[in-house]
Amino acid sequence: MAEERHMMWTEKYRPRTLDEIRDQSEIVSRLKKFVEERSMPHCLFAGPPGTGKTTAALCLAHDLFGERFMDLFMELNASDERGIDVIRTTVKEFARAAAISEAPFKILVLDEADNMTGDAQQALRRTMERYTDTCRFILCCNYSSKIIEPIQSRCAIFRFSPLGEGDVKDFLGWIAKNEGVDITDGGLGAIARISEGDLRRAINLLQAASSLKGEIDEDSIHRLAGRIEPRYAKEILELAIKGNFSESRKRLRSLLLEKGLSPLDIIRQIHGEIFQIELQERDKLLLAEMLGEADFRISQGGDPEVQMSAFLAKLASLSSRPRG
Amino acid sequence: MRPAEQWEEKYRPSSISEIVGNKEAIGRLVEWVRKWGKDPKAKRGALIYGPPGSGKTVAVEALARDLGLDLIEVNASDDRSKGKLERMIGGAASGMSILGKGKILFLDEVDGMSPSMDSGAMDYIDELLSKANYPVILAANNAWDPKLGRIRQKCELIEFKRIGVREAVPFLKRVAEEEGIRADPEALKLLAERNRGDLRAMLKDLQTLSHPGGALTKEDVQGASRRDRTDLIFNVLKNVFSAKSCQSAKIAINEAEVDHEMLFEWIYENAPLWLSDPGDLANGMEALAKADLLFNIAKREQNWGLISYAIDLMTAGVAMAKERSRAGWVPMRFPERIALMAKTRSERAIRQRVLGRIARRCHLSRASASASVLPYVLEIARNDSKAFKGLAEWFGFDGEEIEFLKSLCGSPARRGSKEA
Ligand SMILES: Nc1ncnc2c1ncn2[C@@H]1O[C@H](COP(=O)(O)OP(=O)(O)O)[C@@H](O)[C@H]1O
Ligand SMILES: Nc1ncnc2c1ncn2[C@@H]1O[C@H](COP(=O)(O)OP(=O)(O)O)[C@@H](O)[C@H]1O
Ligand SMILES: [Mg+2]
Ligand SMILES: [Mg+2]
Repeated sequence: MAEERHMMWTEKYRPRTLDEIRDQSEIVSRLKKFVEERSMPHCLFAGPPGTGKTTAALCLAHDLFGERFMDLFMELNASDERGIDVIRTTVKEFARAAAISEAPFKILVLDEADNMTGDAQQALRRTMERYTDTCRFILCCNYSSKIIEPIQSRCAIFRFSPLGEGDVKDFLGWIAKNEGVDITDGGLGAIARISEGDLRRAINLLQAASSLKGEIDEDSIHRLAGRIEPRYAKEILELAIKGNFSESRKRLRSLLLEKGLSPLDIIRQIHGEIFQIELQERDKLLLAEMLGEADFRISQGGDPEVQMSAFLAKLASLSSRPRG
Repeated sequence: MRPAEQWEEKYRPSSISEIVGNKEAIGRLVEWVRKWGKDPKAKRGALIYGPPGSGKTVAVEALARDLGLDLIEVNASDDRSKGKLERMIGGAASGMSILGKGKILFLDEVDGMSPSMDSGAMDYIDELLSKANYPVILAANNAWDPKLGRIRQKCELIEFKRIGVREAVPFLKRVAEEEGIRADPEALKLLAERNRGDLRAMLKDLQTLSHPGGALTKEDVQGASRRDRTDLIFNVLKNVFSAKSCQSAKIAINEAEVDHEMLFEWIYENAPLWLSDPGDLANGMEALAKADLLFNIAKREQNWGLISYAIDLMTAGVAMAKERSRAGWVPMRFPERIALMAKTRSERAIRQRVLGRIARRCHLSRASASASVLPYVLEIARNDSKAFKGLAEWFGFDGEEIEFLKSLCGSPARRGSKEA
């Protein structure tokens, strides 16, 4: 029996070639054509998390370059290096140096590009134009609307959709069998449902479930998911609705500083809840607008706690108004 | 508990004879008022100037009382646009005093006026100096402020000096006796020296550092520097939060000895205490959020011009938000965020390292790693220590990072290896 080596299953089961990618068949066939013709335009991969954007970029480069992959491919996470400096230096260096010998071009992936500042995107746009001959860019993002228009118009756009629940369940079943996970059909179905087409989430949930003792069923999956992804947002919102702004802000502060949660994650969670709050419909809309504003301001460099506090204070004031 | 009366009010002199220091200057002022309107060559106005707490305001108030004159007073906490000034003193300035008493028109803290915001006010004062039927007294910290250029020409200049230690100590001793405090003379001397001629600040210190019936030693005063600063901030905050006009909210922060970022933190922390009405608070927080964004953009783009708008928003924006909130004194507290950030700094650094390793392994940003990988790793660590060990190796976590992750799992976590 092969030696058991621990690693994240998302990486263990990440497709290596375009052929192994599930669903997204239309996208895959377009990408395969690039490989056949050994040519491609700049690309924009847009879609929700865990649908295979990064994977597709890696597979495309792999299928195009084979052994020389390492020299011809570079992956940068624009969310971590979102400043203009990185574009000016790293990206330019890579893009400028001509591809070696017979290779037609190099590929640079800018992952999670929707968090790039406007300035950085402008700089990127010029780099893309200037070095088109030597380098093709693949930008991955959740929302294509966060990419400036001039970049969009220079790219072939690929829209990734969430994987179907049935496909997710099949894939999970296959992994579970391979890894010897003792999970019921109901358990697999529960994971598929909870993960809403996000395969990363699905696989991670399965791996976490595998660390539990005994048979895993639908119930244990729900308890597991509750532990892993607690609904922090709900608690914060409830405090604000009760009019206790200070406590609500304190809780938010602790999530950010002590728990180290990402602000955008908290905002996303809150966004998922606001239409359920007991408020007049137009107030809910107002809240959505304010939350969007907070999100935007944070992306422009605003302090997450301060920006979200403005939202919470607004919520507290709307909830305190006599209804009628 | 009701806050005790402030000693600066309690011991406010009610007649000139009670005023400490600046005898000569006050004598000149009295003389000028007495002679006003009789000598055609004399200046029409008086500008008294000198550092804060040297007794300018109390001198004018005591003088009016001693001479039996009505005092029409306008200071920085009033909105001093031209229109407002006209309404407040216009009538008084031109009205005759056939029946009533004489008057003094007193414009305090004129150097705090902003040329742009209190627009037209300088012109109005200029005009007032030529036309008023009564003596006009102006007070300022700095007589040479360019704004006062034209006005200065028309005024008799009278300088108020810092109150000397030798004048201040006997006064402080009297107050201490009155309050039943056994004060070491050395302590009072140090207290006077440290406040560099500001009698108001000395009284404040004496009040905060001593207890009724207690003693005040030199050590008490020496150990107080931290509290002083806090006290100063409290005062600045109070002035910002209770300002009635944008301009007075804005200039209230001039006295704070901390930078804008720190001041922002104080205001941001304490705004919910002052803005007790939820609607007011929402408006105040929105102003602060906008200020925050401007501060951050200013820093990022080195566009320092934006800072002044940020300051407007964090001062005037918050002050003007107060419409329906309860009035009155509220306690203030140190910005908790600052303390928490300091406390969690090293942990956050380790956390970033951990996320960096996950990000590289899983083709993600650190933020995505935090949201969509780390919680699963922690769950595995809670359930199956052997699997966690294997993963830690794969990710390349070092000992410190592993300890950190275990600490995140919570206490009853380690249920041992699944296979055990
Ligand atoms: N279409 C897909 N086919 C097969 N595996 C997928 C697919 N989409 C996502 N995955 C799995 O989910 C994980 C995350 O996929 P990734 O491509 O990184 O998502 P994202 O769209 O967020 O970039 C990968 O490890 C991969 O195993
Ligand atoms: N010369 C003084 N004699 C007595 N009390 C003074 C004197 N100067 C200041 N004070 C005290 O300090 C407080 C503030 O003084 P104030 O006249 O407002 O100072 P300024 O006008 O120079 O800023 C007064 O309430 C008073 O209690
Ligand atoms: Mg990705
Ligand atoms: Mg004064």
